[in-house]
Amino acid sequence: MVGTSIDLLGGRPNITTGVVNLQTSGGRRMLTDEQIMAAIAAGDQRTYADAVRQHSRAIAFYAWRMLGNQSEAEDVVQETFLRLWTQAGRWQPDRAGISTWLHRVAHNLCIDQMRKDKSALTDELDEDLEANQCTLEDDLDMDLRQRRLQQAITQLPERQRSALILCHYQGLSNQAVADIMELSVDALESLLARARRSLKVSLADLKQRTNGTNAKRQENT
Amino acid sequence: MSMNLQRFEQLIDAYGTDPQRWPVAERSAALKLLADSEQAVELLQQTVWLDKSLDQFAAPAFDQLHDRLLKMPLPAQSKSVLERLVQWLVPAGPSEFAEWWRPAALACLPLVFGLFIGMRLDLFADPSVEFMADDAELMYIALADYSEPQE
Repeated sequence: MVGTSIDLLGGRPNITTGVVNLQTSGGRRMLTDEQIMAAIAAGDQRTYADAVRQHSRAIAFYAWRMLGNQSEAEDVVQETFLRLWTQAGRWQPDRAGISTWLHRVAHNLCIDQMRKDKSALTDELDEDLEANQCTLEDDLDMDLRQRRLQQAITQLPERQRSALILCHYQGLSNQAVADIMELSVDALESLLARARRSLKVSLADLKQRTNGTNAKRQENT
Repeated sequence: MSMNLQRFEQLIDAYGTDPQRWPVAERSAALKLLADSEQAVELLQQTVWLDKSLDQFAAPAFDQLHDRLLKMPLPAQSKSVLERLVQWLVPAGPSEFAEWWRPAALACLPLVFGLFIGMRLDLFADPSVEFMADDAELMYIALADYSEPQE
């Protein structure tokens, strides 16, 4: 395969949510999702770079929350954007926006990755938590709280985890998430409710500690 | 779906306590119920802690990610001959060139189509073509050897 390298870090255009503004000789130009994908399919590297700038961080956050591993998350993002470059021509405007399409690609890649190394992350987190058990009693600091959250989310079944992350953290509409996961909105709500119910159980001690800390603060004040 | 306490509880169970995460179609009705019903407020308060906890799950900054993505080698985009032709005729990118070339290319299409049809009609309409074919056939028949084979 012939490879080309792009370096378009300088002179970047302004970007807003939903559309990309390109600086042209005639001034700013707003591009719709359809125009962006058509341009990328036609090999326009500048538009591709704009799309990377606009969407890569959100996709990285999603992949990281799904996988719990920064390196693997970055690999997923890289593969997602390679597919944007190579498969933009197959994108259908009536089915999903760019963000939803990218999330769907990343979602499928994350599921594949999770199936490859299913137990690795959970084992690693369990070890970390055991090592920190003594500090948990007295000082539930932010880092440890983060780990508890990460572990609780990681232990959710993969579909519940995806639904929760896409709805809670990625800010996507319920219809968009249902499209990404290829299920109905009712089924999505059911998955979300189960996920949150599980989290309420697994994070119950966080709730008690949070309430306890708040009560102490109120006493002190 | 009408908004009542049961549906409100389903919304909280599925989407959490932040109204921004509730479905747009039901948001205003749910907020109205929340303003009118103490039970709805109570339901919401029971789950607030979970959303606060989830909101603390911060992701890394991914500072170097843009650079990595923008510097990675991009593979060649595989395209069929037809796609290349269409792309050459009608550039799809955000180019100034496309703005005048597209109408010009579209305007040329009827002309090309007319030429194509015209040439084909001309081919079938030429009587000499048919005559020449018949004439040649007669000539071959005349030249054929009709003598009896000798034993």
